[in-house]
Amino acid sequence: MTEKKKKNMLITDDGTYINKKEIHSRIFVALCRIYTIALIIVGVVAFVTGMAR
Amino acid sequence: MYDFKRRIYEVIEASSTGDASSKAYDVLMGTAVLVGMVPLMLKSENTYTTLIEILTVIIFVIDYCARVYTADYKMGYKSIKAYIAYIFTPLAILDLLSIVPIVSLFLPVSSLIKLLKLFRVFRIAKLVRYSKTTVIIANVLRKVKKQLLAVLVLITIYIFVSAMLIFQLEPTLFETFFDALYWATISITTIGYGDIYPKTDLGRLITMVSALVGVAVIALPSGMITAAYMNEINKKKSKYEL
Repeated sequence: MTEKKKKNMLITDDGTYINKKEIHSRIFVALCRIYTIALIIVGVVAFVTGMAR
Repeated sequence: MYDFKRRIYEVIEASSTGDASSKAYDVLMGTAVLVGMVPLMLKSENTYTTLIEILTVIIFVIDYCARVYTADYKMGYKSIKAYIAYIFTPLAILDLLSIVPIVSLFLPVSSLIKLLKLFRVFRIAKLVRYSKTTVIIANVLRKVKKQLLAVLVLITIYIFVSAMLIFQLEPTLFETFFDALYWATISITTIGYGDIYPKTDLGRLITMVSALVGVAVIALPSGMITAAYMNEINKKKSKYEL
């Protein structure tokens, strides 16, 4: 493995190499999904409470 | 550094291939736009609508900053001009207008603030980026804009002429010229609310002509848009067949 490629890798406890970009991508996707779900919940709650008044 | 910038650009642009980050971002933006509309459907505001405002504006501000930051990729040339040119594109202006309602949270309620809150409707335009159909419609409108402009000028002239005629023929019916313009527009579009109607024979004759002209002229733009839309669809079909 070249030096440049190693820079983009993370080593887990069991010694396997994981691509840093892939981990960042997964974290980004997870954050987006959490934010999306939070928005949907707040939107539905706001609509229901607003209509009930 | 440029790799990071390119990656941001790829994520914020509508996803075309199986890019999970880009897809997740598109879904988040679409949800933020739709949820951001909820306060406009309610009569009064509550804690949740304020929370919606804050949550959506955070996303829109980040999105706007990211789009300006990657403007050189979007515009296709790397110079300061790309950033300036991007800021003045219609979609960038709409992006900026969609952030404006946040000022309503910090300032006391006034008619200007109420108006600023209505700017939320501009957020729906953000969805244009993510729909292929709306891109086709935008292209179609761009292609027939000269013809549409010609029809618009024709209709405006006709509305003014008929308004001036009816204003002179029925002076008791209309208090201002704006009332006459309103009547002419409602008649030519064949809506006919019936709140203002002519009482003299000449006035009625003008109304009849207006209604007939309206049927012909108002149908023109829809015909032109439909023809151009079908043309665009056929072009796309033949492109795929080749």
